[in-house]
Amino acid sequence: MSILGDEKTRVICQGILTPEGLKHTEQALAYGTNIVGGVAKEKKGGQIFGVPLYHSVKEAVKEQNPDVSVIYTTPLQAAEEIMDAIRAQVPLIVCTTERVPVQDILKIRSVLKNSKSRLIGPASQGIITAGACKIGTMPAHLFQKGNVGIMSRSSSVMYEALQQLHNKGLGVTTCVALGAYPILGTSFNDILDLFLKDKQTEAILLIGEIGGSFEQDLAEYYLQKTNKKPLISYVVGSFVPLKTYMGNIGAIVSKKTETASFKKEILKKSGSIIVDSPVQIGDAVFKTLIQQTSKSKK
Amino acid sequence: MNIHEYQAKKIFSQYGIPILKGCIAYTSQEAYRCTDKIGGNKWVVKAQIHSNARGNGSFIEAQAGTGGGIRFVSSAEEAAKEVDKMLGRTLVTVSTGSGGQEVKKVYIEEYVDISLAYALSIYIDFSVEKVFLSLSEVKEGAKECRPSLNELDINKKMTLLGAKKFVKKIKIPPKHVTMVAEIIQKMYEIFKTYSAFRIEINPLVITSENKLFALDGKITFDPDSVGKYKEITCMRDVEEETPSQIKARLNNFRYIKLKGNIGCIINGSGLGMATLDLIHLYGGKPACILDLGGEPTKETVTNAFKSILSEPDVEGVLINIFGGSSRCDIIAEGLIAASREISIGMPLVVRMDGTNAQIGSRLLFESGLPFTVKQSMDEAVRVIIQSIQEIV
Repeated sequence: MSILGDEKTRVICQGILTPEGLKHTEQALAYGTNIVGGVAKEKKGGQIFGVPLYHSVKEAVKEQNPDVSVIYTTPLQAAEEIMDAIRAQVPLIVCTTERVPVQDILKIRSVLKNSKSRLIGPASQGIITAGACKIGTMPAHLFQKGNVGIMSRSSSVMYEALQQLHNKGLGVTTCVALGAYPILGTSFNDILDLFLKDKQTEAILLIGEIGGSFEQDLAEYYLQKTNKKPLISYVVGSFVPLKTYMGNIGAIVSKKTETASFKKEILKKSGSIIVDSPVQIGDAVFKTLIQQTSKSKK
Repeated sequence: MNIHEYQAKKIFSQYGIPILKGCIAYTSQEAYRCTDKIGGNKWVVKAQIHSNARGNGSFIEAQAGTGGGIRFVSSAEEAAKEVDKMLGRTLVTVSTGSGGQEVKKVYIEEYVDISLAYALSIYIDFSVEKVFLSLSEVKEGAKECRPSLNELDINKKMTLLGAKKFVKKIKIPPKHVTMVAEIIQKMYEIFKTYSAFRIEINPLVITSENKLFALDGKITFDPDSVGKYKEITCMRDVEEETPSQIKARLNNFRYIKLKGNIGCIINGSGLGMATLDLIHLYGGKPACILDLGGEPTKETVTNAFKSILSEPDVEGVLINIFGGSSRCDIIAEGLIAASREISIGMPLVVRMDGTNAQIGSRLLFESGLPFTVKQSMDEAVRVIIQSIQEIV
């Protein structure tokens, strides 16, 4: 079991002939991802790596009925690509493009509300279900099969955490990179629900950041849940000075509620385990899982 | 990306938002031409730097005289004198930090008698991911009054009726309601046309002659969409960037200056913040963070390393790399190339893990250069803090 994607998930790729598209499609196929089509507007027919090419998302959807479309494109084209996928009613859209204009995403978000699609991103490194499928740009070799679900706003900290889990002999079900961006198509709350329903996932690791209210929203949401699973949270950026741009406009603190200390406090109140040090993430997850096992034995 | 007041006003006037007659001066001589062109017998001389509350600021140099970045004059000679005092001098305001910002040009504008003033803005509030319209009265000497706020739907047009309804929520003379509502409509048009983060008129004034003007103007653009609009891109003022911002922009890495002695090279903004967290937890102080980004080339790494070694505050360097999409061997090659060109008289700790970490570590080891290589972030941070303490 897993969330959002497994070995059967039918994936198409928008912008398959871009350098990023080519590179990650090849890697995804090697990982065993079920890529059923590629969209390249300039092409009519043909194949790449044995994958059929289509000139529009609409055509690809008609022929292949995909579950997911992953987008590799330039920042200024990203909004149009996402809109194409929404119009074609692709259930899950993963946008890996960074530096998409903020107003473009604000406009898309209100369209999404009344659509049949879910958007992850933009600026998302994608989704990996260990041993089953790779959607996006994450390096698949870091992901070992196991029972921890990860949802993260930072891919680099997620890689760090994966290594620590690996050192403890732990692996993951699915890892979701929500996107390094101030306005997200999908936030922690939606992913939490999916992890809570997933039988294989026994603990959930949240990697949050300063800026925005995603962690606060999740804390309030988690508090209300009755079917809880252990939630371990690390919020990066405790020592970043106010209003400092660290490379992601989503991770800027302009209000007290956007600081790491506020977020950690409210997550703790909601019942989450809090990790203060970035090198103790693996430890914290390990201890939580052991406690969980001994509890269930009793 | 920010622009100057005079540039914002140029955009305002193109969209029909009323502004006063004004003229930009780069020298005191030009002040004569400006006052002549504007006419009248009273003017305002305004320092053009990217900052809030210029009027309440003060200059570092004594030659700039007392008074802030906005001064009132009543002759061309006086205007020239004030321009002369401000140009080349450093203005410190609430938004510049203690270092201030050098004034390179001034805007000279006609003077008006203000009877009422308002603050008007449209902005994206990133903490709640929404667009807001805000209007409040501004009273002399008092704090800004509580604003009237409205959330805006980015996919909808703003009707005149809607804007008028909003304006009526605050105390404003009835005869001006329609005009303020029209200004709001125009501001929203600019906001959407140029995909801005923020557009602000503070103050918007009603003069003693009952006329309405945007007395100041500020627009912050989305750095990721500004490339679409040539007329905006050319308004970028590189002289407003700090030296480190310029260096980073030219070299294709990101640079964040902090107060401490450990120079940090990392890849990924999240890992940068995590490194900062750990250094602080272990009692150290980072001097700066240099982010190599996703997939750096050997040249980027070489330039980054040279650049961090030349920082005056740096007493030791921590290179913390987790190879996800980036490859540790390429980063090692870049570090080695830089070390062969310049002498290094400080502790260097490299942490490498992830993609090609073993190859990278071996390259560093075989280079014979004084790198301490660690596989865990925990050890690397402890070692760099300790090594610096031992020297001191």
